[in-house]
Amino acid sequence: MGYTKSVETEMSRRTHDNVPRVTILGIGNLLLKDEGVGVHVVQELAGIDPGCENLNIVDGGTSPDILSLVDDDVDKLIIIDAVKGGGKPGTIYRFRSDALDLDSTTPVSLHEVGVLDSLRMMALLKRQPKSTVIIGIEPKTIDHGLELSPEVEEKLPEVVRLVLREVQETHN
Amino acid sequence: MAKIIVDPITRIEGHLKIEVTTENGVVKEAQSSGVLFRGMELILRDRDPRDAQRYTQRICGVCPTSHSIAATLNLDSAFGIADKIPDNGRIVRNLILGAAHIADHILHFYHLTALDYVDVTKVAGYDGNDPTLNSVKEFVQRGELAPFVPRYEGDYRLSDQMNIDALAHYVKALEMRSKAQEMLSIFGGKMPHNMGVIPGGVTETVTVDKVASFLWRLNELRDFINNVYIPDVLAVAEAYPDYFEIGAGCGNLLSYGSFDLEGDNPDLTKRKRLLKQGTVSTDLKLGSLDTSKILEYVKHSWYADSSTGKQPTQGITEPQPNKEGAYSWAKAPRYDGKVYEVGPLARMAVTYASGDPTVKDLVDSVLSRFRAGPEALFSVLGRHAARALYTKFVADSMPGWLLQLKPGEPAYVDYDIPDEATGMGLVDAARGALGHWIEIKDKRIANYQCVVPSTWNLGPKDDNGQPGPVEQALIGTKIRDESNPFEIGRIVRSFDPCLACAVHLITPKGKTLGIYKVC
Repeated sequence: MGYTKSVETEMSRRTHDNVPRVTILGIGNLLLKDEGVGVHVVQELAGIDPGCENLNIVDGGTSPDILSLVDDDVDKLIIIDAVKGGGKPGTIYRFRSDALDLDSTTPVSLHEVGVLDSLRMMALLKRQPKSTVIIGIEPKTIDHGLELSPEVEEKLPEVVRLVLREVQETHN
Repeated sequence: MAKIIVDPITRIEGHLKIEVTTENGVVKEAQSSGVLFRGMELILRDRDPRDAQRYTQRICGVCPTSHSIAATLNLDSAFGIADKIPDNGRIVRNLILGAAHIADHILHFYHLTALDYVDVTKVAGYDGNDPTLNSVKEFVQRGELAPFVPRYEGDYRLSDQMNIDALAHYVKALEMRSKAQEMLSIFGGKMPHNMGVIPGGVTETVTVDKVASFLWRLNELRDFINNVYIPDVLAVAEAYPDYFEIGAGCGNLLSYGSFDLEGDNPDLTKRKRLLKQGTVSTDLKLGSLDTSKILEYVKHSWYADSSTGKQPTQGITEPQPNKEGAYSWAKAPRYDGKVYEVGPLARMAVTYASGDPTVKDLVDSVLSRFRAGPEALFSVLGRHAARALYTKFVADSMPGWLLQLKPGEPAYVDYDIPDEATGMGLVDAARGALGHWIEIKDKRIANYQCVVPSTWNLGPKDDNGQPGPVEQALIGTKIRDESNPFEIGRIVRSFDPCLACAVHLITPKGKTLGIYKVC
C-alpha cells in the first residue's frame, strides 16, 4: 500500500537521522490506462519492499497537490509519471527537474496546482528536495480502462530497477 | 459582436472551455464546454461492487474523498446496512470528509482565486525580514511570475500593505492545507485516495492518540480560518463590492447536504445532516429534496439523443462525437426541469432556509456588514463568502464530533453482498451535490452512474435551450476590457470549476532538450 503521511510515520522517521531521505512519488490516473503508469510502478515497488530506512513510497494518484505529499527535508524526490517526450510508446526518460519548463507561463490558467506548479512552489518556499529526478514513460493509450498497453507494461520491471538504482545512489 | 474564448480555463489540459460572445461589451451568449469524454463508469461494469469506492475516487484529483463517501453511502444502501453503521464509523467518515473540505476550500480561495484580487507585484515594496516573503520578492524581481498567473492588469484595488499581507497568508495557507491533509490521513489511512472509508463504516479503530493528533491540527486550522481566511475574504469583499452584483446565475440552489448526524435513518434525503438537503430559490424558501426529479439532458452534449431525459438510475452513456448542435461532453442535469446551481452557496443557503441558528447568525452577520439583503448571496462574492463561512461552520462542528467518539468500540458492521440490489449515495462534495447510483446483478455491478457537481454547474444547455448555471452567470455581464476579460475569470472561478478530472502529462522543455534517454 502507499505511504501514509501520518503522525506515526513522522515519529518513526526521526530515529534514522543519518540515512538520506528519499521519496518515490508515482502520479497518474489509474482509470486512464497508460496515464496511470506512475501509480502502477509505485504499486510494484510497494510489493517489493526495498528494505531501506527513510524511504517513502507515495501513491500520488490524481492529486495535483504534491506539496502536501512530500516532506520538507527530503534529500531526493523521484517522480514517476507518464511523459510525452515524442519517443516510441514505452520509452523511458530520466531527467532532472531543471530540464522541465518551470518558467513557462500559460496565457490563461486557473493557478491550478499541478506538478510543475508544486515544484515551483517548493522552490519559492525554499523547501525543495535537494535533488529531484523524474522518471517518465512514454504512453501509448490514454483512454478509459485499467490495463496498461503491452508496450508500457513490459517496461515496468525496468522502471522499477531504475528507480531502485536511484535510491541506491542516494544511499551511497 | 466579438468572441472571447478562454481555453483552458483550468491548467490541466483540455477539460473546460468557456466561449463568450459579446455585443457592445456585454456578454450575450456563453458556452461552457467539458471537452473530455468521461466514461469512467463503464470501467466499473461487472466488477465487485466494493471496487466502486476504490475506483470512483480515482475519477477526480481534487475531490477523491467526497467520491469515496458517495460511493460508500451508495454501497451501504445497496447492501441494506444504511441504518446500521456504528456511530464511530459515521463520525469518523464525517471527520474525514470535513478535513478534505477544509483543505479544499482553503486551496480554492488562496491558491486558485486570491490572485484575481491580490497584486503579487506589490511584494517588491516589502522591506521586512520574513524569509518567505523575501523569497517571493526575489522571484517576482527576477520576473518569474509563473506560480502567480494569470494576472489581470488594471483592476487590483487592495492597498500595498494588504497585498503583502495576503501574500504572506497565501504562503501560510500552503502549510495549512498540509495540516488538513494530515488530519484526513489519521483516520483515512492515506491521502489522496483514502482507504479508510468502506461499506459498513471505516477501517480505522478509534484511539485516544488519534483523537488527540486530530484535535491538535484542527485547532490550528480553526485559528487560521477565524483569524486569517474569513478576514481576508471580507477584505476582498470590501475592496470589490461590485462583485456582489456580478455573476448572479440561475437563482436556484440544490444541496444534498453533508455530515450525517444520525445513523438509523436509511433515507439519505431525510437523514439529519449538519448541512441540510433541499432546494431554495431567490425567495430563500426551503423545498424538500426529491431525487426522482433529477433528469439528465443531452441535446447539446455529444451523446445519442435517445439517452436524453433519463433519471440517473436509468442513465446511459452512449457517445456520439460530432453530433450537430452539441458542444460539451458534460450532460445537463436538471431538477424538476429547472436549472440548479450546486456548491457551498447552495448548502449554506438551504441550511439557512431550514432555520439553522448558527448558519443564520454567520450569514446574517456578513450581510449586515455589507448592508446587503439575501439577494447579494447570488453573486461572485456571495459564493466566496458562503464557502468561507461553510469552512468555519464545519471546522467549528468537528471538536464536538471528536468528543462523541468512543475509543475501543466498533467502527464497522459486517454485511453480505446481495445477489440483486439498487443503491443511491448522496453527499455534498466540496464543489456541490454529488450523487452515485448502482445496480447490482449476480453480486456484480450491472450499472454505475455518477452525477458530479461540475456537470450541474458547468453543463451545457438542456433540451429546452436553458443555459447551465455558469453560462447564465456570464450572460449579461459587462466586460470592461475585452482584451483583458477579468470578469469572466472571476465569475467562473467563483464556482470552483473542475472538469479537470485528472490528465496531467509533463511536457519537457522544448522538444528534446534536457531529456536523458535511458533506453
